[in-house]
Amino acid sequence: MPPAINFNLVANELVAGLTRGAWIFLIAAGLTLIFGVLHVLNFAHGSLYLLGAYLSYSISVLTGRSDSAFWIALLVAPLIVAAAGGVIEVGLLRRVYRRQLLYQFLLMFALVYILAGISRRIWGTAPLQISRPFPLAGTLTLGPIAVPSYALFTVVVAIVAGILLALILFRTRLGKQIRAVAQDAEMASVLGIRLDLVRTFVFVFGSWLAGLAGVITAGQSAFGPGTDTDAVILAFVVVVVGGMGSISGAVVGALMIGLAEAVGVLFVPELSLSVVFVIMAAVLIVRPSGLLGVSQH
Amino acid sequence: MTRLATAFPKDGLARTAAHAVLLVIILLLVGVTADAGTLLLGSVALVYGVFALSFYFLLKYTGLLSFGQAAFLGVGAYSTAIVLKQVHAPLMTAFIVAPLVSAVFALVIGWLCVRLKGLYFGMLTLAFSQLLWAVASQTHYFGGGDGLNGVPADLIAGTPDRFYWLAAGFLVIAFMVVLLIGRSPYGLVLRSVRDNEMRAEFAGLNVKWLLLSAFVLSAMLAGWAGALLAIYNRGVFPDMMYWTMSGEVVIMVLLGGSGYAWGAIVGAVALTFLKQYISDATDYYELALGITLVVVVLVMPTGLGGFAKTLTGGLRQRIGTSVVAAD
Repeated sequence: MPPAINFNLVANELVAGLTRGAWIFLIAAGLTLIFGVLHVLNFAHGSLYLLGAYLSYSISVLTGRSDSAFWIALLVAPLIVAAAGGVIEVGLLRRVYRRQLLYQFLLMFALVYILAGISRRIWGTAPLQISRPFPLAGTLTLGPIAVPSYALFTVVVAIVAGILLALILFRTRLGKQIRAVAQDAEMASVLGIRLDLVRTFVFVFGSWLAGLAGVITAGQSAFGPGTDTDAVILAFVVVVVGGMGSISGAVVGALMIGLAEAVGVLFVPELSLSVVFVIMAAVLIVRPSGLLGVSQH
Repeated sequence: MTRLATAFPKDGLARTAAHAVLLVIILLLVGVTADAGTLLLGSVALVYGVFALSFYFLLKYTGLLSFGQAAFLGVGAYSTAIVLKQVHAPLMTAFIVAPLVSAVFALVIGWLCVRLKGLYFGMLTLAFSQLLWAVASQTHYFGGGDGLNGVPADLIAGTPDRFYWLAAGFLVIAFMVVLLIGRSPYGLVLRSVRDNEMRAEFAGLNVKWLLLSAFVLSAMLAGWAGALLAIYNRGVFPDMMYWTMSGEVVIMVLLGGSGYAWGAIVGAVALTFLKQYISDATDYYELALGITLVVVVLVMPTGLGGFAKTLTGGLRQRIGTSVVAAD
């Protein structure tokens, strides 16, 4: 029996769905940016995301689990992940842009293994978690709706990240170059845009976003081996639903998936895992380019 | 063009037979000489060989890159578990039921997927395989996250070599099916679709149906692999259908060299033994495996098979002809 529907329940689930959507957007934003510009399916995105979570755990331990640990992690961990992304792009990815999809896939899969291997070596296999700093540990009550303050914080971070992304893409010279490369790399290169620099920046920035999402997750739930592969598939769903390479599509897709999961858990718990993949398949069948993607047919 | 030219001569059948005989000889030699441990690991490698051949078949003859091949491995495995455990049917029925159920699923899924191209095709196969994984993980009848355990397999119980011969038999059949289809008129038509879909359509071929038929055949082979895997493990688990499993089969085929049916088998065996030996030697097989794959991508773009071929020059070609000549 599904629970009786009343206003409080619906309102709470809506809020839960939207905050979950914000969290999913954080994971998916970097993936869709990288796909849109580099046309590479970054299966290692989840691994970089998990790296961000692991790093925040280490930072928390190093700083004696103090309240400021989380803030230091929020600042430092994404930067380290971004640096790792830079190494990956310059060292490996750069060599396969011109190669077949298959080999890019193989390289990405290799990175999933390598990062999982490194993580296992450093952090073991037990699930880890970090404590939330004081102001984010409680619950806010707005009338009948109860929201964990950490969920609200996640929404704020997602909005800030989204705005930052939009500002870079649409208000800077670099953003203009990125969009040019996304549209036609060869033409952009002919016009004097440094393809290699743009690509490196995009991968580094996408990795930074993955690391940021990882820190946010670390304060929210336990993480460990498997968190990476679960996250990247969720991000792929969002990217496909919204339209591959479309940032606004990622926003819409993430909110949709977040809401669908929240509603699914409530009404059909035995199908809660299936819901997102039903949506993914439906979008691909009806509109392969995604809700907000540009049709390539 | 050379491929088209070599496919037509009458020695095509003889050449296929020569390849199959070579495979049989290798499998016989390993089966007779290997110790129990190697045989046990070798058996699962052969099962993955069948799975890799199913993926190779689709990729090689149609150019379709599936990110959800594990769906049909899982469907074959689960239908085997149900047939043997719930219905108590004899063991060999599994090898009829599993490919048939896989084929039914592939008809529906494939009908929706083959209308899409490239990445979108891959993404939709991924969506369906994840959907099946999710359903299996959350349905009581399918055992939920634990899967179904205690699949009876009395026929091959006891010594490990019985399962080895079973898996070897199916590997040889799958290998011959793939090679024979490749040399048949149907295989040539498939390749023409792969090389130029629009031209094939203009030539009056029903492209969608051709792609769908190949998708279904590939799923049936994967279903066989699933049946073998269910029997080997005496159980089935949702993670057989998780996307990382679909990823592993891509790795196997590319590791061995995506240009040859041998490559799929070599890749499956290599990956299985690599995983086992590295995780025996160190606790961190992922790192070593990842680095190996990077080396393959950057240094051996044609896989182990292609690399060996480059090293030995035209040796393989000459051996091939002499075998055929002797035949």
